[in-house]
Amino acid sequence: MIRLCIIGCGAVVEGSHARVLPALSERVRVTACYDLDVVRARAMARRLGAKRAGGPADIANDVAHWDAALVATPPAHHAPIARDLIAAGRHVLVEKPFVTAAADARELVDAAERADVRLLVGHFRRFYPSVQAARAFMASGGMPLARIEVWEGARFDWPARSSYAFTSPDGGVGFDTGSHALDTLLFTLGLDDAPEATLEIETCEKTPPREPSQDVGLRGSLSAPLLGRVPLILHVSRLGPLATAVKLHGADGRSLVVPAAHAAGATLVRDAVPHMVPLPADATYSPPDAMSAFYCEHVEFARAIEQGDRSSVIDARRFVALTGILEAIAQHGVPA
Amino acid sequence: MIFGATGYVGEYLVDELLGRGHEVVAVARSAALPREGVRALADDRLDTLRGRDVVVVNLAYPRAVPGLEIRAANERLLERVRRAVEATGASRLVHTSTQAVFGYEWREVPTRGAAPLVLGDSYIESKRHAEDALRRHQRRRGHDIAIVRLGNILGAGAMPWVTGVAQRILEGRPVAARAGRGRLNGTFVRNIVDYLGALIEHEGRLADGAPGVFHHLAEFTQPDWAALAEPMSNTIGVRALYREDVPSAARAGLKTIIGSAVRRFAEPLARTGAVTLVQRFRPPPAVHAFAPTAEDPGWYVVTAGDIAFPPALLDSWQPPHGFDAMLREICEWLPARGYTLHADLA
Repeated sequence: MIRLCIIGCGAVVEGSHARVLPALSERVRVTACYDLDVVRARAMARRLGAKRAGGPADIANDVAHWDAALVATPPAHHAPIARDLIAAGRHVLVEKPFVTAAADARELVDAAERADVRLLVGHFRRFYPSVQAARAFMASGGMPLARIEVWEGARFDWPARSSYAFTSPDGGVGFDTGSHALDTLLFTLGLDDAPEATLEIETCEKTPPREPSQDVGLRGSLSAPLLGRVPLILHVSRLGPLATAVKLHGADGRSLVVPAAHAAGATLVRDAVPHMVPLPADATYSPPDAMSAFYCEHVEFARAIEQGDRSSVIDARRFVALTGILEAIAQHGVPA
Repeated sequence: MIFGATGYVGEYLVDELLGRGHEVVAVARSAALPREGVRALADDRLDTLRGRDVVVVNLAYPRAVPGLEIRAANERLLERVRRAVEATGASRLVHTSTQAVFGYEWREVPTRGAAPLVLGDSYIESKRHAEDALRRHQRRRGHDIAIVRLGNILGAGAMPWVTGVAQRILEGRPVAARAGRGRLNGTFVRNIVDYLGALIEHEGRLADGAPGVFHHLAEFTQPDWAALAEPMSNTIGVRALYREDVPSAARAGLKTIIGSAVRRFAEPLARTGAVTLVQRFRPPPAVHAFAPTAEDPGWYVVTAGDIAFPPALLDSWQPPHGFDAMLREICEWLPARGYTLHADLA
């Protein structure tokens, strides 16, 4: 039985993690909840049957009461909290985005390996059938790429317990929505475990110009060994609706559309006719909806801990390149 | 005075009313609403408008609230609207509702009066609750009232009936039932705000004249969903797909496990509320033409409806914008928002 603590009991825990964890109760037991708001921590502890609840100052004292931690705080706190947990020998599942600086990503991955603890990141969209299908399609030869488009936007109206989305430099749409969309791109292209993958930015417009920006539109190119250099446009926004998909345009005129939302398959468009690219036959996970993908995340975390395994698709070492790209976008336009 | 001034219809309404020369006040929890020409007032400052000729317009609706909490959130919003009417001494309240108060699947033509009780969907129930609550308040206080039930809202960026259709076309998901069935029952946002403007400026009591308290606005009942989807499909560059069968509303509320392709389970099945969990299945091999799934049956129920939403409007009003003009605006909007297969930054 894995004893799990939750650090940060905000909207994503209330709406997602807390809904799926009870279904894993034979393998994972929540034993403690922590939040800046201790009342909120206690409420979550009651909901999940945890005996301990408290604020940040209680975490270090309580470490003997849990084996692993879900870190669901605003992104600015991911690195220092994960660092301390790894030093204490605890396994960590960090909510996305992993961290906000590539140097922190590399440091934490190395630290976790030295400490022999598991470090995973909650990029649950990797479990979507459509995303798995797209990755398998590209891995099987797919199509040589001519151009990449990354789009995702909606007016921000989802609940957030803290104001970090509008106040923290790490709370902008790039680290938030952009981390989802770009991760789908890198995972689809099989570049998630290629730390050399980089994004060269030619133009970038942000609204507001300084982080946390709420709308980012950039033109550039994605480079990686074997991929070469492919032109890319990206537009992510909290200000209004955009298409929500990664689009890969082949040199042969075909296009692969990978939806941002949960879907049963990806879509290959040939001569304007859409065709479904289904989930591969050997897929381990086939979550029927987005909530089930959160469940997959916790199944993977439990499995990685139980088996001492670093092969998970959400192992933190797979997010170093993404972190570097997100950092480059956030830093673009910032005076040196 | 507008509740919901920053929403989709709200932004168009603000422009419309400023264009008509009215002073527009947006009610906000804080007074920091950054919109030129619009004053923001917090709820506790509304009495400063007393003595002015005020019409309160409610476009707001609780958003991003879990289904079980919608009623309480709705009641809190309605209380703010009622207080605004009383604090300002408003002569008239214009409240926007929806044709969905009659349900998503109609078996008979919706009536002009109070909607029958339709249970089982928190959105429908909360919209009807709002109509009833504001009507009861109006009867007690005696101010004028118009409750405008809107059809499916259409326009550049309208969610979900334009963005959802566009996204489905791009992804190769069926847009609607077989082409030729399913009335659009739509209303263009520019016509909506023109009508709301007409209601705001109307001389005489709306509640006592024709069509009475309840107004029905869906000027595009005749076109089917293909009339919207096909021009969008031509712009997007992906063929629109339609599904042949239409699920009934009885199945629309169920969460379905992936159907006949299930072979065996990778994990024991468990339920957390309405959440269905991991299972393994063997999908058919190779790429094939997209087969409609049982996903989001509610969408297909609405888009298959073949009963026209009957109009109930001021005799003097005609929609200023036609269907083709609306389509042009929508299709011009699509590329810069990424909905075309090959899109670029604006």
